[in-house]
Amino acid sequence: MKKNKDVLAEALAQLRNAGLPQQPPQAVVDETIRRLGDARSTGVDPAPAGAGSHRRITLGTTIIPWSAAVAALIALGYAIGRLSQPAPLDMEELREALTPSLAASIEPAIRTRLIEDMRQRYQVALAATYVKVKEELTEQYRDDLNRFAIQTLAASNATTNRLLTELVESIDTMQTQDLREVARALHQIELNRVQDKTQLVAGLQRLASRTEDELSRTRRDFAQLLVNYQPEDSGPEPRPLPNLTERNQP
Amino acid sequence: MQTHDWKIIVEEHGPLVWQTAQRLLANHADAADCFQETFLTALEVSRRQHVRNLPGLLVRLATTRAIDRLRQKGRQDRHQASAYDREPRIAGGVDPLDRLEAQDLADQLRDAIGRLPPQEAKVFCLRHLSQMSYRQIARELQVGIDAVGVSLHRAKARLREALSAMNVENEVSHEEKQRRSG
Repeated sequence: MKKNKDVLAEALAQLRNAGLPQQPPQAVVDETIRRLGDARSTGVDPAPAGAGSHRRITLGTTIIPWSAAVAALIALGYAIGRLSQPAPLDMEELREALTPSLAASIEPAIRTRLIEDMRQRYQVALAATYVKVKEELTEQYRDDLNRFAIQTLAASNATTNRLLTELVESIDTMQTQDLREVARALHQIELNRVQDKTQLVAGLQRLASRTEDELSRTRRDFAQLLVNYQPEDSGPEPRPLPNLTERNQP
Repeated sequence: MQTHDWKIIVEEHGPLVWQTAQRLLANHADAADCFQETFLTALEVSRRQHVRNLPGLLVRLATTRAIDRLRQKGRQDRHQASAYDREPRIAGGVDPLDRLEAQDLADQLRDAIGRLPPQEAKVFCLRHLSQMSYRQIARELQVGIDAVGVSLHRAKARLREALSAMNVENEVSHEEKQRRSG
C-alpha cells in the first residue's frame, strides 16, 4: 500500500511539474476571441451539444404562443391591406424606380459583409496553417538534429578507428626496430666473445709452450748440475754454477 | 445576464485554462479545442446565470472538458495517441531516461483519470491539480463537502489500484522482452 501511495504521489508530482507552456499560443487565443465575438453577435448557442439543451427546450415551449399571435397579426394586417389597398401598381415601373436606390443601399453592406467573412475565413485558415507549419518545422528540426548526430557519431568513430590503427602500426614498427637493434647488439657481443676466446686460447697455448721450454731447460740445468757436482775426495773442485745469462745461452 | 469583456477575460484567465487543459491532455490540438470550448461554454453559462467566481468556473469547465476528451480518447485508441501525439517538452539538464520514465508515469496517471467515473475524476483533478479547497470544489460542483471527500477517497483508491496494475503489466512485459532478447 505504501508503494502504491508513493506511485500515486510520484505520478501526481510528475503531472504537476511537467514542463508545460505558461501561455496559450496566440493563434488559439485569437481564434477563441473571434468565436466568442461571433457567438455574442449572432446570439446562437455556441456551446457543444448537450450544454444548452435546457435553453432550447424553454425557447421551444415559449415560441409557440408567440408564433400563433404573430400569425394572427399577419393575417389581420393582410386582410386590412386587401380591403384598403389602392389601385394596382405598375410593377415594372416600380421595379425600375427602386432598383438603383436598392442597389446603391445594399451593395456597400454586402461588400462589407463579404469582406468581413473572407477575412475571418482567411484568419482561420492562416491559424490552422500556422499550427501545421510549426509542427512540421519542429518535426523536421528534430529529424535534422538526429541525422546530424548520427553523421557526427559515424565520423567520430571513423576518425577514432583510423587514429587507433595508426597508433598500433607505429607501435609495431617501433617494436620491430627495437628487436632488430637488440639482435644486432647480441650478434656483436657474440663476435666479441668468439674473438676474445680465440685470443685467450692463443695466449694460453703460447704460455704453455714457453712454460714447457722453460721446464725443459731447467731440467737440463739440474742434470748438468748433478753431473758437474763431485765430492772433495773423489774428484776435482766443482765448477761454480753459471749465472742466469749463461744459462740462457744455448 | 452579465456583461463581460471576453477579450480581457481570455487574456487574463487564458494561461490558467491553458495549463489546466494542457496538463491533463498533453496534446496541443486537444488542448486548443478544450480551451475554446471552455470559454464558449462559460459565455453560455454567463448568459443563463450570474457568475460569482469566474476563474473557478473556467477551471471547472476546462477540467470537465479535458476529462471528457480523455475518456473519449480512451474509448478510441488512447495508447497509440498518447505515444505519437505527445508534446515535446524541453527540460534541460535532465537525464533523457528519467524524463521518459516521468512522462510515462504522467501518461499512466492521465489514462487512469480517464477511466474514473466523471464526478470522481473532476473532484480529483480540481483538488490535486488545480489546488482547490473542498469548499470551493463543493461550490463549483454544487455538491456537499462530504460528497467531495467521499469522491476524492474513492478516486484515490481507484487510481492507486490502476497505477499498480499498470506497473505490474509493465514489469511483466519488460521481463518478457528481456527473456526474449536474452
